[in-house]
Amino acid sequence: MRLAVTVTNHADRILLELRGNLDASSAYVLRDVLRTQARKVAGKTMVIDLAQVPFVDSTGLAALVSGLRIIQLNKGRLLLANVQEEVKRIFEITCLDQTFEFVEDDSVDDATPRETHRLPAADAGNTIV
Amino acid sequence: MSAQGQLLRSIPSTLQYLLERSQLWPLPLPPGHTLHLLDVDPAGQPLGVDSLPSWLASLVNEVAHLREGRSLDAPQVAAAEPLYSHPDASLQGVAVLVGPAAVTLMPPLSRLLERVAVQEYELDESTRLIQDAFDQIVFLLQASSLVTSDRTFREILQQILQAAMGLLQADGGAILFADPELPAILANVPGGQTHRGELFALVAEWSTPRCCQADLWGPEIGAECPEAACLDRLSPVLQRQIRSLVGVGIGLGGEAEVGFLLFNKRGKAGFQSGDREMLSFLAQQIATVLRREHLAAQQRLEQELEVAQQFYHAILPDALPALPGGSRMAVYSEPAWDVGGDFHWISELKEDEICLVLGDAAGKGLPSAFIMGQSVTILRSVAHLDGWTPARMLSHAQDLLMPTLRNAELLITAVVGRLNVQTGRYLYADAGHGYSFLRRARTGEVKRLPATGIPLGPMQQDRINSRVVELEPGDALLIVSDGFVEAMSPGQMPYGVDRLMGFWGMSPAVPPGQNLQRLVGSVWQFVDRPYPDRFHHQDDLTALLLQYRPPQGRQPDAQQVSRRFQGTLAQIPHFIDWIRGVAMAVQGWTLADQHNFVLAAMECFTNIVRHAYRDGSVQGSVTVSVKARGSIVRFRCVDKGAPFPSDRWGGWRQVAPPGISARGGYGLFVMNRLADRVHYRRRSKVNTWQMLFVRPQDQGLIPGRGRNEWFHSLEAPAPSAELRNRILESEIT
Repeated sequence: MRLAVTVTNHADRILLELRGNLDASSAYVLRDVLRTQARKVAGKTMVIDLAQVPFVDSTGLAALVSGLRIIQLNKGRLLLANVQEEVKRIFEITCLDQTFEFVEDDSVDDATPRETHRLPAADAGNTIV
Repeated sequence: MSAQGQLLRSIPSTLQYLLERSQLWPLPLPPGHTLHLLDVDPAGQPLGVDSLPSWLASLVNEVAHLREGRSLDAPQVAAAEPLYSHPDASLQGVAVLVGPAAVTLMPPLSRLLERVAVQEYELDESTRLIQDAFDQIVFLLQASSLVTSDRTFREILQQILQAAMGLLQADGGAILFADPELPAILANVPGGQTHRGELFALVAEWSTPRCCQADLWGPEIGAECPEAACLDRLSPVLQRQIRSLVGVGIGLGGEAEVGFLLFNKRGKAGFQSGDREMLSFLAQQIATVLRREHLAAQQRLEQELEVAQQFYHAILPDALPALPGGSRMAVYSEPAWDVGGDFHWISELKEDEICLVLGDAAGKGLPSAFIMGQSVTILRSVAHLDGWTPARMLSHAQDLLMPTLRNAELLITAVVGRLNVQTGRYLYADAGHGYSFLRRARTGEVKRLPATGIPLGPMQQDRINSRVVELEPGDALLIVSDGFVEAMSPGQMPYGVDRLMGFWGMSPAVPPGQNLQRLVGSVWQFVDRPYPDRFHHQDDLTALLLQYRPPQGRQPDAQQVSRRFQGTLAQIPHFIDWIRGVAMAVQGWTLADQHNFVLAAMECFTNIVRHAYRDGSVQGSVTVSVKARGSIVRFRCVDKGAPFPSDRWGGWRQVAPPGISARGGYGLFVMNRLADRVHYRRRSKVNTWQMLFVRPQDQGLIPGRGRNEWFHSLEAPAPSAELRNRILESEIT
């Protein structure tokens, strides 16, 4: 299952909606997006919606950890939204559930979208929509 | 007495006379209702028309009092229609519908009353004209009763159209259907059928075709129809012949119109605004006819479906041949609809040889079922002939089916195989199907047998080849229809070939019928729908599983599967689906067990691809094998890439997680936490990773630390008795 990332810029937050497995073959897509978006996150919150992500492995986890570090350096805040129960286990195994902030659906969509940014397609195997 | 004579007396009496004459009196009215035609005394005081409802009620009471010597209570007046000799003239009478329920006068009746009243005023018109107009209206009334007659659908619509043309004094009319399969019903349309498409395009372009009216010529063009510009699309020939058009959509209650009622005039007199009301009524009548026709068609279809079901079940075998030498076979078949496009056929050809056929006619339902019936018949007719290879059988079917497939615009994929149950020689041809799998008993490896030709279809194809596979004792052959691999999860992920190969490869050594139950159960579990909730939105499911002779020696009690992957990142999606299938097949595992196993296995595979093969920049393969014996599951990966660095060997066994500042090491940590044992060995430039997993209740079997807390019980559903009953198994000889 390929990974697609949709980026939506809200007034006070940046929403990243992921769809697909976040694993070694696809984690670079998220890394690239996080690298680009982290500059815009100063003073804002970035929400990564994982509702459509059925699987995360350690490489995907490392991409999220890397994103968290960059966002914290830029004085931003990172929220992981709608994480599936099975996906949560890898956070628990690595004790990173104490490091990340998790939210459920209700708290994601309380801001009016200002701009939806669609990224160009990446190279073979993965797409950014 | 002439009609004109009657007209001279009064409007109500004239109406009654005419209705009686046309045998329409008494009119069909709602139960408990009566219609009274009352005339106002010509010598009486002229009445004003200021506030119609209350005035009408009091008038009715007054007239009734005068005429019948009694007073009617206002609630008893279900409907009332004023009768004028002319729209501008004084009131001449009242048509009163008396009854318990508030109903309105039927539109044709209102129209009839109004029309006759107006005609009465224009006495200078000839009696013939009055009679003509009256006949048309009567005809329209009769159209209502036609709806329930036993005439054909087209006859009824023709009559309604003719009646409406007379009523509207139109020069042409048409009933056009949105369904292009239904021929239009035309009356005096210039050019007849040749203009049907043009008219239909015109109608289709009206964005709101509920009621439009437009004059094609003159200064008022487009005045009443904002969409009138589309009339320009009419050909000049048609434009010259049509001056005014009026149309109304025919709806059956849904959003889309199912057809359109259209009339034209060539003279200067255009349509009147009142014509729309009449057209709307007509459209309702037509809709009633269509509903009735639709219902009749549905009944016919149900009867056809019943025949098709009998035919479908007659084509498919209800028993399998007994196979010699201990080989066993099972078949599962579940159409998505009442009849399906999947087909299978198994027959003993001669001693020691059987023929297997499994195919899929594209689509579902009746057309696919008939095509599949033809396919099976053709293949059966040549299967017993000497020298007919599977490739020749399929080529023959292609030649015979080509015209049918061209007309039906269908494709058929099919596998035909001939198996010698003594020697294990399996000769097969595959026309674009591609879902045949061979499982080797010795290694647990599952191979996908490639297609040897393209699907049977409307075009002549170059060549279908045959291919030979030698089966060894214990090997198994699985052929499935695309419904299995294309079954979708609630998250819109396909079950897929990789998952199927993983699941089936890990099948336990049980009879094929039980393994088919497990396979079907896994699909239902995947789509998250309990059996027998059918895949009505999905595809037919057919599977044929043949176990070729029992394995020599002792029957293994282990589940075992293996597969070779290229050591590249692109293989990861294939690996994860495959290992998920394997995990689903492990007996006794909960969903949490499965997920932990998949996660650990994924980390191991990824570690090899990323480090041993440097993200795939170094070419090589990874052979993955999984073996389950008793309560222990062993996962093993073998590769020939770079060795695991010895300086990291001790580090990854750490108890504490790497933490946020670590750049890596999560994968090995996860493996270590999820597996009960993790081993790494490098010998003769070969790396071997091995992980052991034990069920929580069997932790005592492995010395050392226990399983972690991530396991909890979520038992996968067991196949139901109904599912078991759908599996057809061969007898044991």
